[in-house]
Amino acid sequence: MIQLKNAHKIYPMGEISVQALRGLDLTIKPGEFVAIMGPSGSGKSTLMHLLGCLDLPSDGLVQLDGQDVTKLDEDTLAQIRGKKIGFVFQTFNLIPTLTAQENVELPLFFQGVPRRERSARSVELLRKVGLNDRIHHKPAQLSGGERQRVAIARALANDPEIILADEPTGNLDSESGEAILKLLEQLNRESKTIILVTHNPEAAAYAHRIVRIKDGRLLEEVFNNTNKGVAYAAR
Amino acid sequence: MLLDNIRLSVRNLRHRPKRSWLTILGILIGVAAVIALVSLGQGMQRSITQEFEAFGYNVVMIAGHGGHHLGMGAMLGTYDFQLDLAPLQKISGVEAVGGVLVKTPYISAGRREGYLLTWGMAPELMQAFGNYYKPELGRALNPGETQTAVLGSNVAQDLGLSVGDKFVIETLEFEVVGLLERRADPDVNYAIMVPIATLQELVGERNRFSLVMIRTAQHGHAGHDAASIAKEVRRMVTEQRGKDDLNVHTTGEMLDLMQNLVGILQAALGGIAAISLLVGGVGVMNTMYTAVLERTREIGVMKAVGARRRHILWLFLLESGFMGLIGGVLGALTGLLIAVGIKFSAPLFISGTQLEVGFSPGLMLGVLSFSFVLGALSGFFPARDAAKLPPVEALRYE
Ligand SMILES: Nc1ncnc2c1ncn2[C@@H]1O[C@H](COP(=O)(O)OP(=O)(O)OP(=O)(O)O)[C@@H](O)[C@H]1O
Ligand SMILES: [Mg+2]
Repeated sequence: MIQLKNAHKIYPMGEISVQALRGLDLTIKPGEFVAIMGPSGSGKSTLMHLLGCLDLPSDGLVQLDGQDVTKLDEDTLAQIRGKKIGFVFQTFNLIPTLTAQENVELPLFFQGVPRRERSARSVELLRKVGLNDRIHHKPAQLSGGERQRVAIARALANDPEIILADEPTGNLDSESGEAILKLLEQLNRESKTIILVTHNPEAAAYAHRIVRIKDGRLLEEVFNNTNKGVAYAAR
Repeated sequence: MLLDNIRLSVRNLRHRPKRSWLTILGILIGVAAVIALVSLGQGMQRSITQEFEAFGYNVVMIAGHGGHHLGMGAMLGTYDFQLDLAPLQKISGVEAVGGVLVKTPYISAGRREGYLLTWGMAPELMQAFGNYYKPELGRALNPGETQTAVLGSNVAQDLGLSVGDKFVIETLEFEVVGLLERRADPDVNYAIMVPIATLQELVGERNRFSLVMIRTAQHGHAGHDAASIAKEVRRMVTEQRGKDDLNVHTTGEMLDLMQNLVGILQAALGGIAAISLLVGGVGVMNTMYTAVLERTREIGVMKAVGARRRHILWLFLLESGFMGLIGGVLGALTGLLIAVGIKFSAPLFISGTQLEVGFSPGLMLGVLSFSFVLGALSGFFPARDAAKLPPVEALRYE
């Protein structure tokens, strides 16, 4: 469960400053599949960073499982990210010098998981995302879709409750993109909380709830009833 | 965990081999310079000590002022002097007193001839210092002889003389009775040694000496040690000559003096070498700052997946430490090779020089750990910068 209460984010830029978030309230319950949509520059990535404890708000509250994270120090936040949250980025962000397997092992390494266990877990995860024959490939030797699947395997390494995906299909063709979305949907069925930032309505359709933001404010929330029919909860 | 960290660091170093090797080269040069100079310096000190040990520390020397080079020859002053040795013999604790007169008379040995360094030496003295003036072939000079000679190894070779051969000094014929063992001091290796009385007569300088050596009892009793005997000798010599114009020193004092000289030389050269090591460290720092900049995004990713500050810090510290260590290992080997190379090539340029290479495991270990620490230290500030990067900023870095 993640809660944002009146979250502000201001980036100081010398004389002027950019108000990326202007008082945003959002609650994400365990097991939800939420899509976040909005025009470019509306603050989606900024919001993701707060949800993922990568950054702290300038004002307001961020609570993770009832714990206020805004008072925590950097290393504690790093540990929370490592354990409870998995990130998937638009640009994959794999470490180019490491193989697929080693990339997947990285979050385990930072949690101090012993080598054997790491190796077994990473192989299992790569198999889960359908890359059992690409284990020793470097990122440069993989296609975009394959890279993103490695990134998903990496996000799953410590078995986090929440997966944050910031435009994971943005750099992929529609076919590979769909495979990634199907994977996220499957993970959601396995009771992971999925938060997906996307520009693409088809991608957003996988979510149960669509959150639209604009200029750093919540515009509307749309519940996407899986038994067809769409309920609007306009604000 | 440390092992994994090491693997990760090595991976990163190998990912940019050219830059890593160039950085390592910077350390290598510095370490090689330090090792080469220190090894040669230590070798030099060791061989000086060995020379003095062979000579004994219980010796008092009297010479004119102004010795001008290292080695036993340093004891020779720039002028000869007149002295009556008989009273010195009576000082208690004195075992043997003898003089040396060094001249360069005209020598001819068959077709080879020239003005050569000739030591007139009391045969008793040569025997008293049998450890130092040690015949390798034949024997030392005997008391009572007048026209015999013992040759240093180099001059014997140059003149083509061996035991039993005869040669001429000015007008007198001498027979070679012995060849000396090779010593580190070229003055000995190039010396023709004949009984001092004969040489004094030849050049018409009776009772003249270039150097007087006094051997004292090996284990001086209280008040009879070399230093206090030297004091007594100094007093008597000054009284006899009516002026204080001669140097009176014990071999122990001279050893200290030379060790000091070599030490200063070594410190000065070592300091210069240390500067190049410092430059190597700056090279490591430069490379690491570049690495941090290049991998900013990577650092952001690692932080996003749970890396704490110390993880990032260690990653970069190990990387720079490794460059230091590899540079240290290769530099130490190179330095030794250079020192050995100088040892073997120096005599080609300055004949007669004999250098020793002192290898000390302690120095090696010290240099290796120092170079690792230097690498890590040079990498510390870049690594700390990396560790402090805010994750979001690092992730956004293009
Ligand atoms: N580090 C920063 N410094 C200054 N301004 C920033 C910084 N990060 C983001 N911004 C600004 O904050 C606003 C929101 O940025 P954000 O990245 O959250 O947008 P976004 O909705 O993810 O856009 P896109 O769809 O293009 O990814 C933008 O106007 C951006 O310029
Ligand atoms: Mg964005």
